[in-house]
Amino acid sequence: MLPLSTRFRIWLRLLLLQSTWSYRRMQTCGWLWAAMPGLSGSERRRADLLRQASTHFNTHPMLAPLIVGAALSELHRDPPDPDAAREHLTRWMGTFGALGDMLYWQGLSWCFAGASVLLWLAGGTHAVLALAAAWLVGEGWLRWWLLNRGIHQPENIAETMKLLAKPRIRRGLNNTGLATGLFGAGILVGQLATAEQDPLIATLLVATAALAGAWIGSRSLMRSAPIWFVLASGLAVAAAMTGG
Amino acid sequence: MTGTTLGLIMAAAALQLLREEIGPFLIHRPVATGVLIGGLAGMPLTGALIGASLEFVWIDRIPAGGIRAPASGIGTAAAVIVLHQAGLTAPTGTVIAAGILVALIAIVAFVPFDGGLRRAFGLISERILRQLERGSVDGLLAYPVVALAARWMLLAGWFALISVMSGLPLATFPPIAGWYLVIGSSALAFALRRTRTSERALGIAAFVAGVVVGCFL
Repeated sequence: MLPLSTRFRIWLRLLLLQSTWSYRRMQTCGWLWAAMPGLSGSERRRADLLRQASTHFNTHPMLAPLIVGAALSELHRDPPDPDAAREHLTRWMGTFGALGDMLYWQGLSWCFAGASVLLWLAGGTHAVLALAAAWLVGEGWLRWWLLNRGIHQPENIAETMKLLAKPRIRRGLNNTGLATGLFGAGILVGQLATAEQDPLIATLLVATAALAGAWIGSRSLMRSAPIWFVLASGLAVAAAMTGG
Repeated sequence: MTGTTLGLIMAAAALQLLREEIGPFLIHRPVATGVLIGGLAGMPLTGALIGASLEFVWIDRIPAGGIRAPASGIGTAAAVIVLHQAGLTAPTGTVIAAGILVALIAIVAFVPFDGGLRRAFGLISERILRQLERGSVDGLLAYPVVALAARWMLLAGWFALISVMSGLPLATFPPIAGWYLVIGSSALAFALRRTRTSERALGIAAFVAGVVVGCFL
């Protein structure tokens, strides 16, 4: 199998998967470049292999190492099987794109945002720096693990997908993100509101407006913003009238 | 432009490469950008407040399938650079409001710039893939690294261009009253889009708890 140094080079190159992203080719150039260290032989042979395995490719970059790793394991066989490599890419890119978007944007990004606000309030710049460093290490490790899993167990991609898509993991991550992010957003809103109002009035103002907005059932920014403004204005007027 | 501003611009451009080109990693998000670039500029609190404000306005916009989400990290970095160059570093209502205005302008101005970059790099990608078809990997050898360096420089140039906004009368900008309502509304809208009642309740409860904590911190 591929030596450690080669896998490390592929892992590094996969970090730049999207540096050549374009509307037409998306991540195609990126994955071909990342795959190059895993191929052996003359330039002509490597170019032929890449050309045969080349296909339109676009998936979630965090999970891409798994698919690229599996494709590489097919190209590294003796004899290489570019058709099988292409099949891995086309079969899995959509599934992992959707799964990655769901985990990343509906869970992890909210966790990160909420944790950033909380840590900043608790420990200032250094705490956010520590979070950033920990995040880099954690996500880097996940990509490394996925790459190795793809290279060593290309036949088990479905198992890895099931592992990542487990309802417990998916829902747990989403709910953690939801709670952390909204708690962080709430703290920020509270802080900004108290800059303009008395703390008690501000709490009542925002919390009442939030709950009212929720019960009215606003489902979009366009609908919820006016509700917020009307309720908040009314409460602000009431607070001003009562001397708050 | 001072050496510090130039350093800030280069650092902000490098950090924003993590938005898409490197990784991507979430460190480009507005809160982290605000704290990190604001910290370098000696105004971490101002940067954090602007970043955190922008973080929750568009957080549920997912940049998937070619959809471009508002570049709120880019906007935060631009705001910090402009405010630093204008000498407005104290976290007052006026400065935060001016920073948010600068960020919003930067976010809008970034859209055509980003589109132009993608189209330009698309043309180069086509050329390299045609070269691969002819049996040569030459074009692929260093292309992503060169593309990354080019994007870094172009992004830095764009930040430098945006920094001319420091000439605007930002110190006279009125504080935005009620901005917190926009942030809260956006964050809550995310929770309300959940299909499960338990998730909606969790989101609202977390938000209200956060408000109470935030008000009395």
